[in-house]
Amino acid sequence: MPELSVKVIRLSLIYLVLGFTLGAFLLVNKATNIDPQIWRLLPVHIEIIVFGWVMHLVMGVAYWSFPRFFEMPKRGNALFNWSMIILLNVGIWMTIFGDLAFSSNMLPFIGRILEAIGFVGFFVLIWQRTRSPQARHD
Amino acid sequence: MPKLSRWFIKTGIIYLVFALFMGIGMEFPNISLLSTYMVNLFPSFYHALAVGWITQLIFGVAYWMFPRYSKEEPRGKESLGWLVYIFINAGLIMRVIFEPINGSGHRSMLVMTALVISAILQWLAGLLFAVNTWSRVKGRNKKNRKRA
Repeated sequence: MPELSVKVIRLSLIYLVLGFTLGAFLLVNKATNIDPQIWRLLPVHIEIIVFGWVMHLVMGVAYWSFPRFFEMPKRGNALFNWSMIILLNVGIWMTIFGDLAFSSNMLPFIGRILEAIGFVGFFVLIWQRTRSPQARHD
Repeated sequence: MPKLSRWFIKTGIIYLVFALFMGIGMEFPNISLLSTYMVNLFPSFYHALAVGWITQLIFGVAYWMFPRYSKEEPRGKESLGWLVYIFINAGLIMRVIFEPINGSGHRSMLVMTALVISAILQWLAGLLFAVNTWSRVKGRNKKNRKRA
């Protein structure tokens, strides 16, 4: 498994635990009514589960297992791929902090743009690697 | 494919079908025999899809296909894997039963306790899966090859 996949999949496992922890907290609050303010964590829970856990896992596994290029670098430009992962994560946390702490819509807006750039950049690479293992010019 | 992966994936498929029927039921809350229950199914519906179907499918495939942990324990601790399976399903079933009851206003100590236990079980399942899978997410260096 390439280093990028190792890091991204492990990051997805951290997001899994974080997302499940928030989910458990929300469910306990639903049952016991500890504090209505806890409901503000619902979009954070969804963000972490969808973009943190599921999408990172999908990206890590796709980067590892999809057919490689015939020329070096076999899995695409590593610096570019790392940049996309970093942009995605900055975007996720800007969205989360924007949802939680700030009344302005600007922070989540920029966060969503960074997420979109990260995803599009990464999946442009995966698009090129989505081909028959034998085909040189699909 | 190992037995535990088959259980995860087949249970996931059952949840998918179950969730689709829940979706149909939610579209007709007034003609359903359990109308007050049906209108509060929304969170359970999404968790049946997200946890029951997608997460269990991922757990099953990851347990099957990720790099081997060691020659003796290729897929990590199998007992831990089964605990994850039991915890996530027990927690989710309790949630699907009791969350709509809670939502429809029939709150009691039983409902409250069941939801708290459900939350703890699902959280433990996520944590144990991450612990068991962490060491299997690794590159193919010499040290790892020797151990596998």
